[in-house]
Amino acid sequence: MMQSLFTVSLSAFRDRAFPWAAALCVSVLGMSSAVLADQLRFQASGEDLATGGFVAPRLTKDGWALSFSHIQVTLGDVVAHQASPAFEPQAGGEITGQAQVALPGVVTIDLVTQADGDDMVTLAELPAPAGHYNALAWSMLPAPDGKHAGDSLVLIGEAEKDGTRVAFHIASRDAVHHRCGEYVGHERKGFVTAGAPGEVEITLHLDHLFGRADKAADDPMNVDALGFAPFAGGGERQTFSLNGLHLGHVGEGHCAVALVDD
Amino acid sequence: MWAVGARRVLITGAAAAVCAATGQAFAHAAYIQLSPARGVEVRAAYDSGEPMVSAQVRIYAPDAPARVWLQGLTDESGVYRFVPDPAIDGAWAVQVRQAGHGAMGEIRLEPTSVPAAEAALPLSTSATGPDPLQKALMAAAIIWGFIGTALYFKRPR
Repeated sequence: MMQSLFTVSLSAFRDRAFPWAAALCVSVLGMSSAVLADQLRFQASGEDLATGGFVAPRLTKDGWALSFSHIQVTLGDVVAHQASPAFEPQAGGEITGQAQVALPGVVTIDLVTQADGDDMVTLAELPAPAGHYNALAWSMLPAPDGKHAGDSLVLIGEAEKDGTRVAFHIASRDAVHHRCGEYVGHERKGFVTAGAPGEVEITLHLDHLFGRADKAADDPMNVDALGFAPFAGGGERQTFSLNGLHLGHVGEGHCAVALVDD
Repeated sequence: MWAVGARRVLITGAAAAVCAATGQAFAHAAYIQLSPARGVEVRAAYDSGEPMVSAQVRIYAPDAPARVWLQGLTDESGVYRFVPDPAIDGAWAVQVRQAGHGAMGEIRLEPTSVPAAEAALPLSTSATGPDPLQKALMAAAIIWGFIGTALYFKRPR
């Protein structure tokens, strides 16, 4: 059969080749879906505030518009859990469960330049036992190497207020560990089933750093946020501490946050 | 943040089919059926203690955890109550969201028997039930319904 396929005329070849090609495509697609089965995708996002910046009415709490060219974050100790019971960050304690998937090593990403159309950066897609990954632990760690080695979070961009423009480069060297419950958002995430990879998401809320002008001044987020004023002098590299700033979330869900000692 | 409160007994109402049986006698009467049911109270608040007023609540049943089973809004106290389907046992998930902040929680319910006792009560400002005449009319309407049905099928063709 295969031999005759290659000894016939062109038209006959097309006629006969089509079923073979179709069968081949089906096989390849079948193998692809088999590879995708029981996979967990690790993602990170700075949401639209990272990719689109702070634009009116969502200015910083002190009225600055911000645009970012780079937001570099280094992540490690990333472990997704099938927690049982469900982990409640406000209650603290450890995440316990039957299954977990760990992202090996430390990864440095850019939440601006590497973001896809949904403001998402994929860290990895790993084989995972089927089930619901409803808890996520992760750390922001000092980058082990590269241009910004030693910094766990770097934000580079330009700020503007009342015609004044400031180029900024701000960074933190703090290591911060996060223990989070289930992703909270428009849809539930983390379900790994045969043929459909699950997703877990690390979400950085930049408004917890800069505050939001469209929120009340006494909103707890604005009370804790630094705003941009401390960095308005510009400069090559200004530093800040992540201590007390809860940037790390899972979607809209909060995390138990602990500064890791050096 | 917020916490799922202890299970409480709730009273839930449902339109009663008995309305149809008594429709001619009490054209403006409305009836509800009341039955005790085990329910869940969700109390949502920020960590400052401020209630999450009018926050979006979504309930996910254990047998279809990725699909919204029920949704609504918290009241002025940050409270939302719902009665899970007693036929679906397992962990019921509750999501509360408002203005970019949210939380998930779950409560595991064991299979429960639905209370058998039910009472048909008129919806009125009075707390009293149907009087003897009303009861007699309701019974007569139901019996006549059976008789009429039997006669229909026994009629000569």
